[in-house]
Amino acid sequence: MSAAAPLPSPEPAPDPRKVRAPSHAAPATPEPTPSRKHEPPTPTGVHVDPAPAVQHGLPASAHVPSDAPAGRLVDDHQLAEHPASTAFDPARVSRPMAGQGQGRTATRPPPTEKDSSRMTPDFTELAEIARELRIDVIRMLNLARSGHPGGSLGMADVFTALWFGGHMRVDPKNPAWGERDRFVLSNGHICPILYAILAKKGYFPRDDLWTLRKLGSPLQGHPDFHHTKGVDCCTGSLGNGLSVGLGMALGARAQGKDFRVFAGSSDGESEEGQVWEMATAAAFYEVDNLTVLIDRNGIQIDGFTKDVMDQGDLGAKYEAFGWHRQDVDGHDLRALHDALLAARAVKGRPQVIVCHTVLGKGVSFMENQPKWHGQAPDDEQCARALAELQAAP
Amino acid sequence: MPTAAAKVATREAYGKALAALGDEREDIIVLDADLSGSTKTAVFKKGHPDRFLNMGVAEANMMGVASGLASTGLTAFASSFAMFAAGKAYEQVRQEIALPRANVKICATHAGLTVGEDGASHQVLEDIALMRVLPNMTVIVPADATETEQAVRAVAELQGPAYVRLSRMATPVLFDPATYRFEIGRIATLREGSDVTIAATGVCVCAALEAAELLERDGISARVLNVACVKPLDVETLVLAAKETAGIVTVEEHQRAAGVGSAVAECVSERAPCPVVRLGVDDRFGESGDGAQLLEHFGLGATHIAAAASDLVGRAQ
Ligand SMILES: Cc1ncc(C[n+]2csc(CCOP(=O)(O)OP(=O)(O)O)c2C)c(N)n1
Repeated sequence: MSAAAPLPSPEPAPDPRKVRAPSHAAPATPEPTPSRKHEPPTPTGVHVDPAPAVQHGLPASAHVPSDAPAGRLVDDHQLAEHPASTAFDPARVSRPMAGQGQGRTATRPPPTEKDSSRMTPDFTELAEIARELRIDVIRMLNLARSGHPGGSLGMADVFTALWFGGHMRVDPKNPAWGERDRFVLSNGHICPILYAILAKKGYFPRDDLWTLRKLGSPLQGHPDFHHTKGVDCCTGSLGNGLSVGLGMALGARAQGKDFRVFAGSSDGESEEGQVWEMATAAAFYEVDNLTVLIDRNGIQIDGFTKDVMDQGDLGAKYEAFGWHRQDVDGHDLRALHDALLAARAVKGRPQVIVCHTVLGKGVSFMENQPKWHGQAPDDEQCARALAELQAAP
Repeated sequence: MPTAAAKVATREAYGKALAALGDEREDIIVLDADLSGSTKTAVFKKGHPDRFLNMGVAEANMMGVASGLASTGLTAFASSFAMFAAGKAYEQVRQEIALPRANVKICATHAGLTVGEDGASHQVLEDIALMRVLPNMTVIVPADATETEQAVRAVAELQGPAYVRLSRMATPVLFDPATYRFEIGRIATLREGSDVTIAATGVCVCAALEAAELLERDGISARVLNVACVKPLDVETLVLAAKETAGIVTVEEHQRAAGVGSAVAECVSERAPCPVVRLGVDDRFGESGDGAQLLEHFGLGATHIAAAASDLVGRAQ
């Protein structure tokens, strides 16, 4: 090997200045194949810990690239997205001149069948998916004995519209695909709904869901991409994630990529000052590949948001910061789909969709009850919740 | 070996002590950041709603406001999870509380691995390090409920900033309130011993006492120190242990780097060098799991401590 030989790189490092519009079409998102019908242990039965045979720090489902140095956990996020030779070009993120648009060179590849946001999804099918996701959330949390059902159930419809309505360009078989749309769950505590989605999308076996929060599980109490395939951002400390999302969106522009960034947030999180630093910067840089979806359920840990720290008109605040703003019924799948389409069409501005949701939606005794923000259902409550969800039209 | 039947989390004891303090003193004002049910400041709020401020999920602002309140003559207690109190608001704590020597008591709950299932994002293992390097800051990690009640009173008496590290997990009540005395700047010797010293902190004190029992069965006499006051550090007691025993094993649910073990090593290396073995989390993050399981998993159980201590004795011979 000559001294000048480049170090082996897991993915050819693109020179961002040379990047043209990606010529390849987005791969179809395979629908989950229910090859194995996995049912979790019944909540009333004795739960035996799945006791994953896992070496510490290297969970079974952690994705270690084959060329990773032995014995060291390397996350392919770093390998795929931060190759040392990818020079950062500040000129690409610097604020474009007014009227010059968003300064991106790439155009989105033609949508494939599964990726088509122009194709109207079957809303009955989406509603069925949302029901299944809610059922998974309840089962996971019951087995975990702790966690956050309220927001997870409340955002089930929003995230179903996003992930199953053709708005996310992802390839579950290739979680590190550089052109994928990114998803940041900034209100990381509602990760049970994300895990249910990722399992349904086929990122990992559905059985992993029943190990949530246990020692050695690939599913951590808060999202952590070292452990979980399909997670793009480590979150859990409120206020941080949206900034990372903004960075991803700017990163796309800097490298001439056309992926979009979707980020979940909440009214409680909006109390963090950093959110508004992010909002200022995103508008200043005219970032239009960033869409923030806010869980506006009016509840946080200590009670109703209007009593703890009133948020007023969140959408109006974002609007005042220069964002494109929509307010949507967070349980109307059609309205959510339309809002996502409308957001995508916005040029030169970041978009916020304030999703008016009901905490605990779908389980009557949880709905709009602050105590269900972060408390797992016991066996009896689990059985009641499942019965309701299964009986729902 | 502690035979205490009752298990009480130090955060529970904090809420109770704070409420009692509020009954006695008009100058106590309490702030929280949307976690009052978890940090137990809600107990104070119940009795003194007019002296409780929920600042919402905004820790950095809360620290600044606490400093401002203190500057008007009030004694401010500010609570959140330790991760966010020490981590999210670090710069505000440094600039607006430590530097001006504001009379703010940061009582931070859910510290360390024993947060459990919430996982790495919530398991702060760096807060002792962050807080003990701040000038003017007193740093306290109570080992049980009894000590917590006394420590809360002690910091309320103190003029100036303090950081009190508290736990989520219920742990045995080790000390009898009638006989135990917590003092700022003092390390309590919980058990005399002449062969080796175990200096433990917080929830790890219980395992240290168990380890001493195990060692005794092997004919090793272990001294057990409770380093509840990390700063100011009780130099005298540590130097004595360094001189009278083969060495010191430190135990904490914190990074090995820059925590209590480091503080102990810094202290004795300059005055009475002796081997110091630091048990803690070795340069990695935590993960989800049951709190007690995690302590074992990360090598902080009684058998781990006993093994390290007996190893140290073996080396010295
Ligand atoms: C920086 C930070 N502070 C505090 C917390 C603890 N915490 C977790 S969720 C939450 C309430 C957030 O409100 P929201 O997201 O609106 O709650 P939900 O609608 O899911 O009930 C808080 C304070 C945290 N995770 N991060």
